[in-house]
Amino acid sequence: MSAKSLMLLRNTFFSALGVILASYGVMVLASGRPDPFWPLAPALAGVITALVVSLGVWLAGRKTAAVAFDEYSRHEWHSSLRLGFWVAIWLYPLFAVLLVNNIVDYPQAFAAMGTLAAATPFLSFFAKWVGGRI
Amino acid sequence: MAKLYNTLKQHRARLSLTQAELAEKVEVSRKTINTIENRVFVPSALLALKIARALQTSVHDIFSLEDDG
Repeated sequence: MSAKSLMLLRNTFFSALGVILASYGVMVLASGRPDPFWPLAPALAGVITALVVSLGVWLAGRKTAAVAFDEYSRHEWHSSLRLGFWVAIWLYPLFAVLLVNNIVDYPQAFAAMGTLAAATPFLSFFAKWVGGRI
Repeated sequence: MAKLYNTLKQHRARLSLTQAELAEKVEVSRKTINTIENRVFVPSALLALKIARALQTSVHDIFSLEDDG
């Protein structure tokens, strides 16, 4: 597997994971249920992504993987993680307001906050990919 | 605030190297070379040294500080 293929694989699975996680979080809020679809789907998507990307790295070999995960791509991933950190922090006051006003209940808040916080770095990476930055 | 200026494109052209060829020499992606060249990304000292070695020159010849006041 070439570095280009490995980057494509990583970007595709990271993007898909971001979309799945965000969809779950948004659907929790839209449907008013903590399980708008199969509740293990977000976790399973995460595990599949980790396995597929790890397999890709193994098939590509250490040297090729180092090119795919080079300094610039790590820099961009870290920037996505920083955004994810701040979004996760700001979800607390946001959901506090929603809980106090009985717009969501605790099971919904738990499900939505977890998936939305997890989705952010992957969606950010997806946006960078679509924008041609990675 | 000082910004990092570079003459990567000129040095690459001197050796008739494409971005992809230089990327292969320094074991990074073409995107990385492109973003350095366009001053989007500031490389680490290690990567700057690798680029300089691949271009058969010194880091000082490629990178310099550009003060914008």
